[in-house]
This record gives sequence, C-alpha cells and structure tokens, in this order.
Amino acid sequence: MKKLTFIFFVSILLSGCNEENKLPEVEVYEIRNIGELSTTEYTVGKIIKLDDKADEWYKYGDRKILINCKAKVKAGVDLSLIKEGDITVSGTTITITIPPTEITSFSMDSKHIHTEMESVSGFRDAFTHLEKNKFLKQGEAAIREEILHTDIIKDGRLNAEAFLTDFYKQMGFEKVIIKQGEHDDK
Amino acid sequence: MMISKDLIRLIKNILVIGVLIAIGFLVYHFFFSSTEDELKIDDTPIHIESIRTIAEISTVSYQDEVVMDTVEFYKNAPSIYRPTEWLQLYDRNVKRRLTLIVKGEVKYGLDLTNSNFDIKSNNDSIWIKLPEPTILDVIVSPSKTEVFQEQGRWSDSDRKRLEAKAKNTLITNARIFKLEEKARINSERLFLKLIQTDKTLIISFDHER
Repeated sequence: MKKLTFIFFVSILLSGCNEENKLPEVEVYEIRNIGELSTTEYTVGKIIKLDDKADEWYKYGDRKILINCKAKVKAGVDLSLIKEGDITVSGTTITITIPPTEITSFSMDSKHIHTEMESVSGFRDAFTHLEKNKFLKQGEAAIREEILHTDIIKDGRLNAEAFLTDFYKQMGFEKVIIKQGEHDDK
Repeated sequence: MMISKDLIRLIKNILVIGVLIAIGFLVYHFFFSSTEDELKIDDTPIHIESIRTIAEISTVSYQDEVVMDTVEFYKNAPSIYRPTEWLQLYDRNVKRRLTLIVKGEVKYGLDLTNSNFDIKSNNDSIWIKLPEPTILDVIVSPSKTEVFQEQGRWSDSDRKRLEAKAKNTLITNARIFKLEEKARINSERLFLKLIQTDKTLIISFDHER
C-alpha cells in the first residue's frame, strides 16, 4: 500500500511539472494595396556549411552539416511611388521618372532546401530543426546581402525601362524618355 | 602530530570544495550553457542558377501567419503502476510533436511577361486588354519561420510536408478574401495613373496568352 501511494504521488508530481506548451492562436493578417513592377528574377543557390568541432574539453565528438538551398529573388520598381508630375507628355513624347530599382520579392521555399550531408560523432546530439532553421536564417541573410553585389538591380532597371518603353510605344508615343529617381527616405 | 591532522583535514576540505566546484561547472555546461546560439555558418559564395526577364505587376499583398502542428501519440495509454511509462505520462502520452509558425505573403497581380497584353487606340479611346489577375508570389523564408516546439526526432521531409501545408493554408486564407477582384481594381487604378490622357480609357481583363 505504501509503495502504491509513493508511486501515485511521484506520478502526480511528474505530471504536474509538465507545463504543456499552448499553441499560439494566430489570426494576424494584413491586406495592402501595392503597385510593384518586377522585371527580373534571379534564382540563386548557396551551400550552407557548418563544422561544429568539439572545442570544449568536456565535449566528445564533432558535428558537420551541408545544406543546399535556393532562393528566388525578383527586382523591379515600385510604381505606386510615382507622383504627380513624374509623368509629362509633350506631343508624341512622354517623359517618366521611375522610382529607384529595388528587390521586390525574396522567397526561400523549403521545397528547394536539401540537407546533403549530416554527420554526428561521439556523444554529440544530432542537429535539431531549431538549429537547422538558425543556419538557414544565416544563409538567407548572406544571400540577401550578396545578391546586391550581382547585376540584379541593373537588370531590373534596364528591363523596367524596356517594358515601359514598349508599353508607351504601343500606346502611340514615338519617343519615351525614362529617368531613374533617387531613393526617397520614407 | 596535531598540525599534520589539521593539515590533512584542510587538504581534504580543499579537495572536496574543488570537486564540488568542478561538478557544478560540468552540470552548468551540460544543462544550462547553450553554445548553439554562437554557431556560425561558413562563408560560402552564392551561385546564380538562372536569370529570367519578367514583367509582373503586383497590386495586392496579403500577409498572414499560420500555425502548423503535427503530433503523434503512443498507441497505449500509460500506466502509473509501470515506472517505465512514467516519462510517457509526463509527456501526456505525446510521442513526438513538431509545431511551426510560418509568416508568409501572397501577392496578386498581372503577369505581363512576353508582352501578355494588347493596346489599341483611335482618336477618342484607348483599349487595354490585360490578363486576369492571379497569384504571382507565395513568399516564405526561414527568417519568417519559427520552430515553436520540437519533441522527438523529425525528418527533413516531415518538416517540408508541414511547410508545404503552411503554404497551401496561406493561399486558402487569401482566397477567402477574393483578392483577384481587389487586384483588378488596383490594376485599373495603377494604369489610370500611368496613362495620362484625355482619351477614354477602357481596360478589360480577358486577354488570352
């Protein structure tokens, strides 16, 4: 009887300690009116490499991981920023000042993320998804920074100019002058 | 003789304190100190896989946050009489669980790639034939994804399945608001802004690729 009572109290204590994580009830959405013209799409890849060596004396074993990921990045101009006076028409000539080219969309879908190699030795724990997500976040930040060193912004601008020129010429304008505006600190 | 006994006791005390400090240090490092936050990925270059010329006008953005939860229970209910099942009892019979919070964006607009539009005009009017608004982007990324709970072992494909489900939920949620209509209105407004003319502007959304 004493044994049973002991087991009962231990079970109550153990189960009482488990503060079950409640799922957050999320209902946060936002609908915005935008006006982005995306004119170039780059698909870029990156190998996320991490070598977690046992640098502490009490750790035994190493962990290594290689993740292959892809991101789709689009660039173009935000046409909603065109103000009154940015478009002027004189006979068959139209002059338009477009906002500066920027990254309009950045997507890194899990569909294009693959763990190519994962190695854990000794007494080390396997990589958790929480850890992998942290490495992916670092990879994403690196891609966002490095993509600006490619020609994406230049291509976005040239393609936007080509699209608008074609558009206005189809409308009957003979001469289309496109100027690039400067960044507006909102 | 007395001095030597005191000395031995002192040495013993120092040793015990030393061992206690060492145990405390080990316990702290094993259970409380997390070095995972400090792990930094290596600096590797990006490589461009493809470049595509497009012409997409996004006119509506829908941003949402969805929670994806998957849980697996033990087949049999735990018994408090079996000590081997106490851990099961402690976990409320949950064998493993993975919960993600995914923030994403769905963009609606017009895909005008490869001049997918028509413009005609006469002295009085301009007719613009545009394609129907559609979903142009469903944007998700690791920086907008949170692993809220991870219990037990989950494979990459399990996680991918959850993320794909989150993406579909985002699209389904967006469709409730009938945003194609809003995208159509916003597109008309945008073209009116771009086309400054005295002529009558007629915009229709029935252009077929």
